[in-house]
Amino acid sequence: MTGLRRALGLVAIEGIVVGLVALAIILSSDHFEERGVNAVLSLFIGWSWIGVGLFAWWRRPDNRFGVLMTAVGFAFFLGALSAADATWLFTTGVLLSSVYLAVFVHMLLAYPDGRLGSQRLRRVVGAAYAVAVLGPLPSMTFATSKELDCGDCPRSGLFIADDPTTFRVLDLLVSALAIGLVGYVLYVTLSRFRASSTSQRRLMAPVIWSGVCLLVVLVGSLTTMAVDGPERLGDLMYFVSLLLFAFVPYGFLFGLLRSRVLQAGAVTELLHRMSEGSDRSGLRDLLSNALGDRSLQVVYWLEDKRRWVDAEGRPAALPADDDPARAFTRVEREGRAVGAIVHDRSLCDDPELVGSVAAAAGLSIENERLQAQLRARVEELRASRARIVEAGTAERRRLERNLHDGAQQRLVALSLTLRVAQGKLGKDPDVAHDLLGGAQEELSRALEELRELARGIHPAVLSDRGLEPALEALAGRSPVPVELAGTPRDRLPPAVEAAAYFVVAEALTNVVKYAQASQARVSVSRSNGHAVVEVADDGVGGADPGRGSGLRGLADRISALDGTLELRSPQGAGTLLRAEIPV
Amino acid sequence: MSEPIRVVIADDSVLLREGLARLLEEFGFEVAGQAGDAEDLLRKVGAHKPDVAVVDVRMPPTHTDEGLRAAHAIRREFPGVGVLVLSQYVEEAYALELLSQSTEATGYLLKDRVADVDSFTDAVRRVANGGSALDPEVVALLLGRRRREDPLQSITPREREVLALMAEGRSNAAIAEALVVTERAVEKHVTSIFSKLDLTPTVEDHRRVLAVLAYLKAA
Repeated sequence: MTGLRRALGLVAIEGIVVGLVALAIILSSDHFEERGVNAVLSLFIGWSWIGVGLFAWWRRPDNRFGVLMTAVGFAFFLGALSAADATWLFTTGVLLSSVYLAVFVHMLLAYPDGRLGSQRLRRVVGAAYAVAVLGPLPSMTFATSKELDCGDCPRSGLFIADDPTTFRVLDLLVSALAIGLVGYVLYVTLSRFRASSTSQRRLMAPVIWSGVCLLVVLVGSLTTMAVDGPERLGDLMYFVSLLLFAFVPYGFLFGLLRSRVLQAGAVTELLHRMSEGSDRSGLRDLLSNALGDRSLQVVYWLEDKRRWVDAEGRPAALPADDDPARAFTRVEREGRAVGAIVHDRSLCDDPELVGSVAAAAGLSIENERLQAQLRARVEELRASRARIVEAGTAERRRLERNLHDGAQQRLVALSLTLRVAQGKLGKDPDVAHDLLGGAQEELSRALEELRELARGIHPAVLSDRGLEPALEALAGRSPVPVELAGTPRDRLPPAVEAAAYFVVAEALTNVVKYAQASQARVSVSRSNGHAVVEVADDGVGGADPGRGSGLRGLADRISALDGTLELRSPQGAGTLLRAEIPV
Repeated sequence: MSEPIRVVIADDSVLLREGLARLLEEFGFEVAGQAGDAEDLLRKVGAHKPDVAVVDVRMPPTHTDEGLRAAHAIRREFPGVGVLVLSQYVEEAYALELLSQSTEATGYLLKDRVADVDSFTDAVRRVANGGSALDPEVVALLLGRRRREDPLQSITPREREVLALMAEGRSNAAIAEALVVTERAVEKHVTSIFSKLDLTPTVEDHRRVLAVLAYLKAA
């Protein structure tokens, strides 16, 4: 920053020196009329441009607009050389006396970001420089000082011949070129202005309008001179164009100040409105109004999920850094990101405005963020509820199949056997006896299947006696030795007990199926308002959390109770399934 | 033939109750009363003073473990009345809870077992006479528990059979009959088992069951 300051300071000193040199040249000129007025006006205009240009340069070092404004000021001082009495200084001065207009056109077309956005604009600017230098050439080559209405002017260093016809033709040609070019620049400027967003227009208006006025007067002045119109009109237009030209930097300054005032107004209004409270779309609309960007969106940062969501809690994406149309501004509170305002890229030209709006909206965005977080949670619950319903349906289908394929088939077979036995009773009691014996066996198998099925749905001992006996029974049935390391002394809520039971049941099933473990350890404890269920084994590890529907179903069951399920299974180092359920 | 054994039956299913009553009467028991819930059961036990009550675990109003609680109440208030609990499911927690205080005149059988008439009537008779009865499936679960440093691994398959029958509450004579060996052989096995499991030998059957169960539960 200090480096930039020093450089800008040097440029300012140069500006002062160049201005003073110009002043000296004009004041000592033999052929300039009204030297005093001319000198003061030139100094005022040149220093105004350099001063405001340096200010803009300092405030926005990245934007070349300030550089261009400063350049306009220096280019303007070049014209003072035409007041010199020495032939070559005079000639050079006249040739360069319109360059400042070309730099001005360059600046105008590069407004507000300081860059020429397209090849077409670059060509227009190139043409402007060419015409600016070529413009005075006919008068320097084929006209005498009499025709130029300047009796005391020194002789041109480029003078070829006194040829009024050639001079007129060339002058008309160059004037027509210049008028056409300025007209075209006018058209481009106006259409660019129309195409800008509201916020951009607000920033651009003073410069564009003063620039447009200047161009209009310039066209008038050039036309008057080209057709040899009344001298007084030409002088008047030249004077008006100088005044307008002097006004442009102040127009820019005014635009800057106005955006400050508007910015303060917008922020005040925003704070006021937000204190009245707002709903979801309300905050977006307030920010959209304050920044004059209808496309504005607010997104929120969910720290726990590490992702951006919209107000409804749905995942949202931020525009890329090189997105030509959209940009975003982060909103932070106490050093933490709470959200971001996604807006038109043009607002990046006014970072202070967006910054103060973001700061003012911080609290509201934080509140909205909490709401969005809640909605994201609800969204998640909706999904897991859907999965639970789905799992319930799948479970019922499984039960139905097991009942049909198992117990029901056996009972049908049994009924057939009994019917046959009934027929045999009279004539063949021995066969009937055997049949009934078989039926007896079939029946006890059917009963056994029904018992197993009922236990899978919900073990009666769990609701009657609680976790410990239920887990002991699970442990007792496991082919892998299970150590039951502890259970809470008091009963837990039924839903929590059931969840804990099924966590252990599923975990032990997996231990037997996959872990190749020599033993497992089960514990249920209470800690910090949570029931903590742990099942650890000394097996091969490397369990895949996505394996099968069992773990997924468990995770849903646990999350339905607001709990978490965690699987730690490093390769070769056993598996730990841990569930934490709030009690 | 001596006096018939008098039974009170409690089950909320009339069908099952009637079925049990017919079966028991057919096999020489006297059904003194039938009850549909625990309250009714306690009243009828008090009124009839039967030798044994056959009680379903699940009964109104909550259909959870009324039968178990009624069984405890009967054993507490009417020490002369035995209780045989019938359960829809194999739940060793219930069985151990019922038999851990005293195995005297107490039994726990899977409901399916009633179809195996001989062993069912045998169990009713045993409990009525102050003995105990534990369902073979519960015993299998207790014996089947996987343990680290399992002393049960040191006993022979034959001894294991004897141990299971002991846990079910059978007498030496019944075990000898079931395994088709002499009572003398059974006694030898029992002595061996008790020394291997480091248990104090007892004579009475129901005390022996208690010791075996305590051992199996603790291990």
